[in-house]
Amino acid sequence: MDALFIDFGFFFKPAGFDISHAPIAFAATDSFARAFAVGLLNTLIMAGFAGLGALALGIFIGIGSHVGNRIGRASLDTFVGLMRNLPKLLILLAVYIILIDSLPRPREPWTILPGVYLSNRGLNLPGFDFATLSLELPAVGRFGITGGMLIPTQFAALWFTLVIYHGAQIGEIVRGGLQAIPAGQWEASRALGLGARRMLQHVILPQVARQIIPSLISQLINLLKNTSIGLAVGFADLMAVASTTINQAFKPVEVMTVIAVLYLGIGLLLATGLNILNARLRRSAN
Amino acid sequence: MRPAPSLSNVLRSALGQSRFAQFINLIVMALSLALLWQVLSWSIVRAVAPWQAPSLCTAEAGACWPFLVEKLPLILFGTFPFEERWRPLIASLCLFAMSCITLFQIASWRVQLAGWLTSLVLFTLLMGDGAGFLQPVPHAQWNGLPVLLFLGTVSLAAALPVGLSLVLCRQSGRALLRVPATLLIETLRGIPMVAVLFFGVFALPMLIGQEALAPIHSALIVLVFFHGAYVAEDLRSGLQSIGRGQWEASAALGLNRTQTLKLVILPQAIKAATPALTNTAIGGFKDTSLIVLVGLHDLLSTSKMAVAEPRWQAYALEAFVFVGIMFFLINGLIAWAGRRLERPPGYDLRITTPRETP
Repeated sequence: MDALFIDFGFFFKPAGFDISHAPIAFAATDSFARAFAVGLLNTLIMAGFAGLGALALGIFIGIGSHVGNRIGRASLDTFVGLMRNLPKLLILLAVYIILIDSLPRPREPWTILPGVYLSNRGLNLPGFDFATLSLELPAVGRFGITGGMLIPTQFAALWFTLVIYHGAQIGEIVRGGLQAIPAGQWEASRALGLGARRMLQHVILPQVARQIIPSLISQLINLLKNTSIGLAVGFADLMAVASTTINQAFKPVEVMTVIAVLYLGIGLLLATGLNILNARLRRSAN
Repeated sequence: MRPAPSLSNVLRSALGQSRFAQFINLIVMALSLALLWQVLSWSIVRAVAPWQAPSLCTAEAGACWPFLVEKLPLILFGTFPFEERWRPLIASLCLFAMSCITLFQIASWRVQLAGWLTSLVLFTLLMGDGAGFLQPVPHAQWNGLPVLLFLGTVSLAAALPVGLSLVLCRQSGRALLRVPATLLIETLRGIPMVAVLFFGVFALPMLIGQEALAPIHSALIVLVFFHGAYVAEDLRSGLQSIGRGQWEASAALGLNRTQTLKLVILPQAIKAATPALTNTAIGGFKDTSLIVLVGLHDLLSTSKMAVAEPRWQAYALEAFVFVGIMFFLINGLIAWAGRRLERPPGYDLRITTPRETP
């Protein structure tokens, strides 16, 4: 049996594979290390946008299932139950298939606005060219859409999946927080003559926020880890780059060590950052 | 005096009093009605019923249920040799029965341990070559339900003792036990399950010098520790909910540390941790589907096999609906078991056999 050699040197050799839709320039001649940087950036971008979406949806669901009528509550409960019991990978694959099947092919895309096209390859937007400081409009040709900026379907499918999956869980957290507010708080603010919106905004939500922020933080860290399922639809996140690298360089031990360090590092950074933010909010509220 | 039943009053009572509540209710109801209509029209109105001929599917825009009827054996058991399908069926039933015994805690832990070991041996024999008596089937043809149940249930069942050991190490006074356990738990909880699976399937065999280790076994090993880390964390919060008074009272009764843990603290801590453990089990079981990403074949990849033929290509969603229902049922069972276990304040010290309290 061969002894196990640990060698991280290959990270600086040319990767030999392409990454479609890299946020920073990447070619097959660039190093594995740069490929990892691309993957890390994609993971962070996805986690950022999906985190915002999931927070918005979660707050809506939480409030909706608190103030909603019977039908509204039943629908939200059904939705939350579905998200809780279905595997996220199944949701992602279903969303991806529905998008691919129901959107038109790139040759005849839907024109949403002049210069904004939607097809099953993704959403084409006008891109901004920093070299010439001008807007570049996408053009529809025989072989699809060229020019401008593309938000690929894989990105949209993963974003949507993470938003509904974690939105449902954040909704449960928000609802739990709302239920923990004593009825006296509602009654007192009603006695002050506040409407439902201002009641929530000034009295209820600040108290809820203080209580649920720790659970929200762990939920956002889960979301960050769950971007790794993007591998299934070919979104080039950190885990997808790692997977290709394992195939290409066959250095699984080294690659997985780096992956573990990176995920632990960003998780720790995110947790520290959000905890500092939380402490600040508490201090400014008092 | 009752208000007159005018249209605005009826709307108010249906939608809520404040304008804000009305607004939210309107949005939710409109969205769910639209979705419900989409789902109904796809699955029933425009669909081809399961008993109709598959050839009708090309004319309809909705779901093609005859496809599911035709491909059901493939989705359940994948490429396992056709005439040998009774083997994965019995193997799956065996694992399912053991899971029910553990979920509802209807046997002592010794019986459970024996049962799990027996089903593991039985599973390996039935799926493999039956000690020479059956036609050998290579690992690559172990597909679908038995693989999902094997990795999902065995890893979660084994995660209970592993998690318990991890949390006892973490809570122990000795740094030699505490530090490695804490590091292991926090590392596993900090990285995604996909990464853990990749580590298991690609790096672990090299690290332990067993390069012939089958992916299904290396995946099982890492899943046990991965779920074990989450179980340990659930149990830790359960342990922390037990007050000092319990320790002091046990000391006053003359129990030593081990007796106190076994007879007083753990039964209460496990009961307190049951809701969290239920969540971990549901999350862990459904995430077992991620094994697809390291090339193992659970129900999601057999679904993909089922739609591989050009004739069936358009019907992946039907297969996913079926897989979704399977997960829904199994997770519902776990949730039900969890609610049953946390319900009674059963003062039964050998928590493995809960009895009704008098």
